[in-house]
Amino acid sequence: MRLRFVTPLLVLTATMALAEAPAIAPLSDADFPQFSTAEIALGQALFWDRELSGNRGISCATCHHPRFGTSDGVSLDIGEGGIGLGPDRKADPKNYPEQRIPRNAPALWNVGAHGFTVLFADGRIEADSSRAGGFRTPLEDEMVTGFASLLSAQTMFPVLSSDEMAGHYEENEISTLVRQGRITGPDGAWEAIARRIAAIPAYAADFKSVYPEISAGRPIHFTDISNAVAAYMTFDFRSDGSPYDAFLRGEAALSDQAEAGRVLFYGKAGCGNCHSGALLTDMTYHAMGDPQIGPGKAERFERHQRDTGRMRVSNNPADAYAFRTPSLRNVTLTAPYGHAGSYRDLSDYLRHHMAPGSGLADYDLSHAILPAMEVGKPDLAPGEEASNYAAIANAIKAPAISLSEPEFNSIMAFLKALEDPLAVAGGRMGIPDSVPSGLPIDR
Amino acid sequence: MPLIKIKRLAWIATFATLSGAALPAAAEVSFTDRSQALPLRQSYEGEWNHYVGGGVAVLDCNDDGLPDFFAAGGAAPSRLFVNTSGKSGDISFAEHPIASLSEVTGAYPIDIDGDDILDLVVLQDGPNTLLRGEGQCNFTAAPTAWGFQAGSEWTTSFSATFEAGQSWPTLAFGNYVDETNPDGPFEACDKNYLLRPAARSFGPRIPLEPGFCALSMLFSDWQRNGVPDLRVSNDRQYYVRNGREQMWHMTPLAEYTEAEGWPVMKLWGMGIASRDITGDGLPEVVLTSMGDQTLQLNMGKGVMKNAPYATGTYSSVPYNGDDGRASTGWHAEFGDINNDGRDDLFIAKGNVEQMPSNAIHDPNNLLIQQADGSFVEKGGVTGVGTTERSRGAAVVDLNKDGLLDLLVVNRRAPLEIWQNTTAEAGHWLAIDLRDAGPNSRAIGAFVELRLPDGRIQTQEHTVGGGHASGEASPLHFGLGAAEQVELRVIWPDGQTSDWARTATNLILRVSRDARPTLLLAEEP
Repeated sequence: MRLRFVTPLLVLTATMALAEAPAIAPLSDADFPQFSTAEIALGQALFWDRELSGNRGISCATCHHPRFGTSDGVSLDIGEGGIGLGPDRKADPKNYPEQRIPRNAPALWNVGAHGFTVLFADGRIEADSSRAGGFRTPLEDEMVTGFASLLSAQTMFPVLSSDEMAGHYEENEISTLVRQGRITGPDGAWEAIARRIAAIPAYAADFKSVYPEISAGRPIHFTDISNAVAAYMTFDFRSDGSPYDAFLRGEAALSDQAEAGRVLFYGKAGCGNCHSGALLTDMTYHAMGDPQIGPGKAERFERHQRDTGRMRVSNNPADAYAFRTPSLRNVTLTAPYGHAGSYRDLSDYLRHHMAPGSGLADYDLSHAILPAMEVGKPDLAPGEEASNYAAIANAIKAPAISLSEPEFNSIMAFLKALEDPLAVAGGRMGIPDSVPSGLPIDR
Repeated sequence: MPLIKIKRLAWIATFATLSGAALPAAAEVSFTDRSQALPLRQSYEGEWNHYVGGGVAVLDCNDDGLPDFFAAGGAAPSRLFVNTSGKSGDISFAEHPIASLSEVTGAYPIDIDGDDILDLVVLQDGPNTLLRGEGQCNFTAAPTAWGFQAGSEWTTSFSATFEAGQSWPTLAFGNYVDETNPDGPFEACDKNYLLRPAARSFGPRIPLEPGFCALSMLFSDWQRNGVPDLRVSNDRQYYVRNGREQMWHMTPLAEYTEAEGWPVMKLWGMGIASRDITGDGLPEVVLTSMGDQTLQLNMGKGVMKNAPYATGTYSSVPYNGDDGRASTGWHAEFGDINNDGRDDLFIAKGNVEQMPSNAIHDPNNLLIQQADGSFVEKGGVTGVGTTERSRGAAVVDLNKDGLLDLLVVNRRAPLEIWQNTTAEAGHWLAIDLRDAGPNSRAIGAFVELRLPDGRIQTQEHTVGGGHASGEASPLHFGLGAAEQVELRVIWPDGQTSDWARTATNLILRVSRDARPTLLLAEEP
């Protein structure tokens, strides 16, 4: 002990800090909605089926693959117009993609938990008691009813994105409707996808067996599809089997180094202030100064390459460049890191994260993993007009943290203790052998 | 002069020397919602073919000096409303019967046949309709002898001009997607058409090719060389790649080219506003779109330059509310809302329908120009910044109190009427141009007002632009503290009148005889 003499005040402060450290309740069955085996199996088929994408070339699993921790192993993926998986994915010369997807594909661990109240890095789908229905979605009051959960509502949006799943212009009936701004209703994109699924006999039968209303004659709506996919994700990507979970349940101690890391994480390093609770996220937004790479969150009618994060949803300048705290569960499996995946290496990311903004000045793209493609906008946008690093830096409110090298390594050990063997194995259910459409499966 | 009914004719003599009083501090703009004064719900409705359009035509169809209006209903009824507001009274309207027309997207008033009674060009998805004004707000189908060819396209924009030597106007019809193209709707923009006069009727339709899904057109002598050109603002959402903003020479009929300095510019063009706001006599334009609303400064010699961002007119995202996605702009129109002598700008905003890329709750803009030429948003504090899917609009004095009021057509929501109740606004003058037929309203004229401090305000009298919406109303000038101003008109034939002095806070009917002296008559 280096401090031989401590003042009573310091003792008091330290005692209070310990006393205030929240007891973290372990995840349990009560944290997850339960679904029938049949609904989960139907959702699994849909999750892995390229039929849900406009050009039938991409499934949910293409960018949320168990081999890559339910993410995709790259900084910014190619959605529609890509072939291959993970770092091997590349542009399809026959259907060349227009641009990279502007944000890193988030991992799906525990997204079905009741506590997962904010979806997407900007929370454009989130629980919101100020809104009718108790949630917000990009369609606001135009949103359809019939989805069973926030996660189900979330599932309804990647299929509409031209760069992710829908495709472009008049390439297919889905992309055509989306570009026209026709989403809901019998002539909208969602019903068009539902008609595709309903036209496949095996799906038609499965939906009847899972949902009594459909058995009674109601047509399949997209909300039924999204409900089944949400049931699958909730079940298959539930992850509460890590050494840290065992620790929370009082079943086993962490290794000494991981325990030291845990103490730092919730103490001096301050990580737990935002990465709080059993999900290791406070489900709110913080500007952490991650380098912006890729096309930015800009529509085709916008020239910039910025991604102002939460502000683009909330319209509140105080939210500029703030992104939802990601859950750290299985974080060792979900590289690259940051909202744009600007760091491929967790320890590199963590060093930058402890001194937010420190990596902005000399950031280079060797930290990223970008599938090869010709891009219209440079991956590292130059200058103020483009991704605006000065504004990113100015938005940071979090203080820098100084750790010794052993302390840093302890935190890394704690992050490793968040790794669930079941996640390493690829989830509970694995990859299906086939899907009802007969389309190829991403393996 | 035919059919001019001036109830009280008064020569506006000028006695006093021009006032040199300083401008008052800018009045705080305020509006009162009079939407309930409409006897029934009027809204723009329909499926995909009415995601765009939704215009309003403002015209005094019963010659009582109060503007009436015809509002497009899309798949819902389009209706004519007569103005029952008293002078300076609360704004109110009553429905007036008019032929039932289907799939109306917009309308523009213009005197086609030179009888000084305004006619109505009605744009439709399907054959357009030309209605002849009969007086007392009665309209009948244009006589066959007019030779009007209605077309069958999905028409979404219109403009008109009187070409030199012609006795009738030239009409331009801008069309959107060719719905018959099996490879559409993208990269399937229809042709636009010109109707040029043949004596006192229209000749055959002349194609304006290529068309790029025109959502606004405007004939304007933007270079002040006496030769109006046709500007066409086009929607990239449907032309996708190989389109551009267009400017057409009328004689010979040809698009401006890059070689002559017309740069390739691609917009999700929805509407055009045109007004000289820099005081050099050359009209600036605002081109509405998704995201940035572009104000282009007219630099002269055919060069337009984007205004600096600090001007405050880009209005790329909602200025209030909790939706941070990009805006979608439609009708844009300049007008001096507080009569401080500086033109302000209204932009109608609203999501196309369900485009997740753009704000769903997208407030309309009321941008008030400051002394330094920048613009400050007042849509929120005045209440006019409603978040419906607004489309067409009109900035017009509806109750003859000298303050510009506001009509806003909404898709899937009721039409809005906003009465300008700004206290301590500045002085004003409204100029109702009349000329011997056929161009009875002197379309193409420029009106110049010289203020006591020497500044000159210029307005071009045009038909077209906006988003599917047009007005045949007196040209409104805000004058600040000026109690007297000088006025002159550069008539469409190029004749420039002498300067005439006039008092302010008047609606003036302005015409000419053989001399360059203006004839000024106060309208009651």
